[in-house]
Amino acid sequence: MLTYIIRRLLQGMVVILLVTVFTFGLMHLAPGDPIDIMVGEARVTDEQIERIRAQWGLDRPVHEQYFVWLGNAFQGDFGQSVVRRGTDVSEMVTEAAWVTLQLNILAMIVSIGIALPVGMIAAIRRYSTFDYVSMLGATLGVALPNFWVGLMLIFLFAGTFGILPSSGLRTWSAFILPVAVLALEQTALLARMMRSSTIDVMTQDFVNVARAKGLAEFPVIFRHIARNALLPVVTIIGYRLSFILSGTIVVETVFSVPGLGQLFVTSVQRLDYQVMQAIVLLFAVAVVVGNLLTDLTYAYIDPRIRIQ
Amino acid sequence: MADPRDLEKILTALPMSRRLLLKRAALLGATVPVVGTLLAACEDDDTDDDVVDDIDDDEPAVDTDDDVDDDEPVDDTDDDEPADDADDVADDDRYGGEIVILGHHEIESLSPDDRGPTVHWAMITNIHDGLVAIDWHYEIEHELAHDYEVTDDGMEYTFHLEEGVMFHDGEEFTAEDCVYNFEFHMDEDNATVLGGDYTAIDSVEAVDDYTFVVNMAETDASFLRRAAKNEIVAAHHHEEIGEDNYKSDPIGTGPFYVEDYSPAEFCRLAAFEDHWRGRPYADYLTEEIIPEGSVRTLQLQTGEAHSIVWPPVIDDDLELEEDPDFDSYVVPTLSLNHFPLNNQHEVLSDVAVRQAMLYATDRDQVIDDVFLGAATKATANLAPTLEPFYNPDVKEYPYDPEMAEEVLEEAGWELNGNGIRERDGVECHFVCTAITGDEARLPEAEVVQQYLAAVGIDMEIQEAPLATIQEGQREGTIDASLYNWTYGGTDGEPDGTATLHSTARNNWNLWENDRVDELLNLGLLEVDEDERVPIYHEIQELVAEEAPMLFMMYWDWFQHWSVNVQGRPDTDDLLSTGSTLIRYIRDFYLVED
Repeated sequence: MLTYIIRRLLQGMVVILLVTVFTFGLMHLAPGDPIDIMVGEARVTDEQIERIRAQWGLDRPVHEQYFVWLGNAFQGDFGQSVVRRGTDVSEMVTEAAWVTLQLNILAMIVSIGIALPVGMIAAIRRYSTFDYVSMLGATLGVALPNFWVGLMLIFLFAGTFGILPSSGLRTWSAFILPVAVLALEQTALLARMMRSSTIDVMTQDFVNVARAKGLAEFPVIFRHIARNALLPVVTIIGYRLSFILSGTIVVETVFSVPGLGQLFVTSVQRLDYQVMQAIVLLFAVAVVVGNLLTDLTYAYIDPRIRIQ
Repeated sequence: MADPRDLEKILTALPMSRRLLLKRAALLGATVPVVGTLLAACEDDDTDDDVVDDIDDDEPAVDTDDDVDDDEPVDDTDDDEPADDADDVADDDRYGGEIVILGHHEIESLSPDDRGPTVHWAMITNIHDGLVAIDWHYEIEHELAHDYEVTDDGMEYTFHLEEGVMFHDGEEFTAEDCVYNFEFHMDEDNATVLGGDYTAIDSVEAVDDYTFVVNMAETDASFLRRAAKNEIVAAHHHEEIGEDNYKSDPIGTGPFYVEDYSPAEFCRLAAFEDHWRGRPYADYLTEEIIPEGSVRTLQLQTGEAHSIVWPPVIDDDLELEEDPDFDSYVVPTLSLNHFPLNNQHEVLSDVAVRQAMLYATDRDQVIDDVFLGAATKATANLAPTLEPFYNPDVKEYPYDPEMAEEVLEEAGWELNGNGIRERDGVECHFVCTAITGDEARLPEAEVVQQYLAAVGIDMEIQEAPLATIQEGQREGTIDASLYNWTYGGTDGEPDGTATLHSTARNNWNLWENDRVDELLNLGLLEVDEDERVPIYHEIQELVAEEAPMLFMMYWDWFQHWSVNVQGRPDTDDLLSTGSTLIRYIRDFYLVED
C-alpha cells in the first residue's frame, strides 16, 4: 500500500510540474499585457511602459520568468501579485481558498446528510409518493443551473422577503444561500446515485441470503445494502472533492463571495500571472490528492479491490 | 441586398425589457425541469441520465460595464456648495449613518497612482485631496491649494496652500509633502503609472511651509488638470512604508480614513473628525464589491446600497431612472463609441471611403435601436458636454446613402457584379475585428455592416480579444475595430495627443495629419484657456473633415442616487461623468425613508 501511495504521489508530482509548464506558457502566449490594462487611458510613452514592465520583472524571457517562479515556489514563495502590489500571492490564495473550502465543506455536509438517506429511502420505498417527490426534487436540482437558482434565491430571500443578505460572507446567515445553491445540485446528484445504487444492490444474491438466514431488515439494510450501495457514491464524492476548490466560480460571482473562484476570474481578467499560476497549481494539487484519496477510500470500503 | 430597415423592424419589434425577460426566464426555469421530470418519469426508473437544462443566465442586451470604455474618473471638488434638497433637516440631524456604494470588481489599491479604475478612485478620492480638483462643470477648483498663480509663459506655477490641514495620523500637511509627491512621480526609477503627467516638470520646491512652486521644463497647458489634480499622499508615511505597502495602507487629508479594507469584498471608510473642511456628515462610507450586475441593481432597489460606482445594464438604468426612490443624473460620457479605422489600409486610407461610411450610417437609428436611445450622436472627437472646447460647427454627416454613393463614385469606386465597389481592381472591403463576446457592441457592428453594404462597402466582422486588437492596431495588422476610447476630454482637458498625434503610442487609427500634430502641440503650449479654445475647435474640424475614425456616439452615463441621500446637486446641474458625485459624499447626508 505504501509503495502504491508513493508511486501515485510521484506520478502526481510529474503531472503538477507539467501543468505549471503548460499554464505558464499559455498565460504568456495569450494576448494582452497587464501593464496596458493597468495604465488604461493614462498618458504614457513606450519608454514609461518599458520601465514599468522592467520594475515588475516582466521584461525577462518567459523561460527565465518560469524558472525564477518555480525556484521560489519550491521554497513556498509565490511572489507578489502584479495587480495587487505589496500583497503576497500565498496570502491572497490562502485567504480565498479558506473561504471556498468553508462553502464547499458546508455544502458537501449538507448534501451528503440529505442525499444518502433520501436516496436509500426512495430505493427501499420504490414507487411510493416519497420516491416520486424526492426524485422530482432531485431532477429539478440537477436540471436547474446554479446561476439561475442563485439569482432566483437572491430575488426571493434578499429582495422580496428581505430576510437574508444577498452578498458577502460576513454573517452566518450569509452562508445560507450560497451553501444552498451549491448543495442543491450535489444533493440531487448524490440522491439519484444513491437510489439507483441501492436498487442495484437490493437485487443481489447476498442480500437474499442475508434475508433468508433470518436477519432483520434493519441490519440487512445497513450492514449489507448500504455499505455496498455507497461504493459508486463514494467515487462521485471523491471526484467532487477534487474540485472542491475550483467548482464554485459561478456561485462566488453571483453571491459576491471572495473565494478562490472569484480570485481566479479576477486574476485572469487582469492578467495577474503570479496569482493565476498559484491558483492553477493549487487546483492541480487538489485534483491529484483528491483522486488518490478516492482510490484509497474505495479500496478501504471494498475489500475485493484492496491493493496488493 | 438586405435593407438595413428590415433589421430595424426586427429590433424594434422586441420591446422586452431585461426584467421582463428575467421573469419569463423564471417561469421557463420552473417549467422546463417539470416537463423534463415528467418525461423522465416515462423512462426506466433506474436511469441516471441528467435532464439537461439549457436555461441560460440573463446576459444583458446592452452592457455598459466594460473595461474598454472605462472613462478616467473625473475628480471634482465643491467650492460650489451642493444644492440642498432638504433644507428642513437641521444641521445636527445630518450627522451619522453609513453611505453604501457598489463597485463591480476588486479594489486592488488605494494609492493615487492606481486611480485609473473608477472602483479604486471612488475610495482614493475620499481618502485624499489634490492641490486642485475639477468640479462637476469641468472647472478647475481650489483644494489643498487655496490659490495659485501661473506665469504668462506657463513655466512656473506657485501654489498657496491651506494652513492647518491635517493628515489622518495627525501630522500637518505642508509644501514638503507636495515636493515629495511630485518628485516621486517625476523619478523615472519609480516607474509610476501617473509618471506621464509629470514629464514636463523640471523641478519643484517648497518656498515655505505653505508655498509650493513647480518649475516647468516646457509649457504644458494640461498640467493643472493632470499632475496638479492628482491626490497627495502623506510623505512621511509613504516614505516609511513604500508605494507597495501604501496601496493597502493609505494616509491622506481627505474627509474619510480607512477603517477596514478587504480588496475583494469591501472598503469601509470612517469620517475624519479633523478634516480641514469640517467633518463629513456620514459616519461611514463603504464600497461593497458586487460583481454580478443584477445583484447590484437589486441591492439598490432593496435599499441595501445608495449608489453604484459603475452604471448597470442599460435597461436597469432606464428602470432606475423611472424609480421615484432614485434621482438619476444622465450625462454623455467622454469616451467615444467609434470604429477605429486603419488609415494606412489600402481602402480605408481613402478619405472618400471614410466619409461615405459616415453618410451611409444612420447613427440616430443605431442609437435608438441598439442603445435604446441612451446615447448622443458624435460630431468629431470631443463630447458635447466639454464646453467651451466642443465645436458644434463642424462638417456634418446626416444619414444620406445617396450622398455616400456619390462620394464613392466621385472617388472612382464603382459597383462590381457582387454589389461591392471596386477601384483599380481593389474591392471596397475591410475587416472589422470586434471584441470577443462584446454583446453591447456586436449588434451595433452588424447594423452598421448592413448600412455599409447598402452603398457597396463590404465590412466583414470578426472577433478577437481587445488586447489582440490593440496590438494589431499599433502594428497596422487590424483594419478596423469597434470600442469606446477617449480622444481628449478626460478631466475636462481637451488634449487628445495620446490618441490623435501621429507619434502617439495609442494612435489607434494610424492617422497622420501634420496640421493636427501641430495644433496638438500648440494646445499644450498655450496656458490661456480662452486661447486654447480655437485650437481645439480646429482639431475637431479636421477630424470631422477627414473622419479618421467612424465616430458614432457618446453613451449616456447614469449616476443613480437614492433619494435618502441628500445634499446632492440638482439632476440637471451635472455635466461631468465618471460617477463624479462620489467625490462630494462628504457633503451628503442621510434622511429617513
